[in-house]
Amino acid sequence: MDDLPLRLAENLDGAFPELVEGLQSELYSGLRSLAGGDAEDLAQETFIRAYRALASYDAARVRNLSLRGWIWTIALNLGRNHVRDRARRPTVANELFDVGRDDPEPADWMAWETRLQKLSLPIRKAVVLRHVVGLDYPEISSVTGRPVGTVKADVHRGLQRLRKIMEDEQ
Amino acid sequence: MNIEETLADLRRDPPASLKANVDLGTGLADGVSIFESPVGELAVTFNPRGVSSVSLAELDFEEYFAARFGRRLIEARPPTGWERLINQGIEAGNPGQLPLDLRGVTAFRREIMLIATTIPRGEVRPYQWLALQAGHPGAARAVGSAMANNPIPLIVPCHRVVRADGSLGAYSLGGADNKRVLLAREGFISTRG
Repeated sequence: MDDLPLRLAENLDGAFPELVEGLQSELYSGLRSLAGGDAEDLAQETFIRAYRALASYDAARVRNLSLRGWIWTIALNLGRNHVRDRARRPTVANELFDVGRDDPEPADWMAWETRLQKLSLPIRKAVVLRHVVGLDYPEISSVTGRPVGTVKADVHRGLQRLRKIMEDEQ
Repeated sequence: MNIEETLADLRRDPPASLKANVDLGTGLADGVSIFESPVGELAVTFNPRGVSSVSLAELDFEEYFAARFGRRLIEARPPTGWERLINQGIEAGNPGQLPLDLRGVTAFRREIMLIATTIPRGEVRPYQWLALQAGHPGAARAVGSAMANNPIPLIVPCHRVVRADGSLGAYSLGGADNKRVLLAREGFISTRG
């Protein structure tokens, strides 16, 4: 993954599948924690926009990208237009992919979605990006546009609040 | 498990449909769907730019497609509204409003394909006529290869392009018999080979 920006700059179509393989799990899981059932649509749209952006950038710009943070910047900037855009594209026949879908949804995932919904949006983003996705504080700061100190405080407050929510459940 | 570990444990692999839809949406793979036609089942491929190829479904079209276009195929539904346009295109022998992806087709061959779409249903034109329309009267042979390599036969009606002596000539979608079937269905009966 370290030299992926170099390879994307050299051969976008050849290297792009590797970017998807490498980031799809954290992108999907993070979006799932932030946006619930729309996560697959949003992750798909994020990757497609990333591909189009990479195709339009000059090679030097691609080589210098910090990919994880950049992908998350795209994901968080996505508006509601993604549903409209989808109608213009082919889509897989879903019955072909039943294996992936049949995996039982982790029971605790639903519970965690509900708990995370109780946090304010900036705090929820900070907690999810830090602990579900695994970005570091400077990356989160760059993605959310909030200072590092503020992000750290957001994560700290978010975890405290989640502990309190869980105590109240018992 | 503390709360940080519990959150990290929410990481899950996405459904396989995510990657397939990204491949389709970026055009790194084309979608393929089967359509009925007067000459049997057709494999029609498409991507966000348009329909990219039409071939007989009975042939090993995936291999053909990979060799010719260098992209993978994923069984998929066309974008909204295209299914109707594809069926209309097959029925009419004309693309109408259907977008076509002609990347990789030379400018001359595109021009010949466009001219072929102007031949009315039930009529035929010789190769020379298309060459003349394109402003290259001596290029009948090049018109022949443009038609033989037409990636979207039937919808781009190369079956309406025949030899100067009135014989039907070759047809890329399963041979001359299919050309005869299509033309007969449009009301044109060839009296020569």
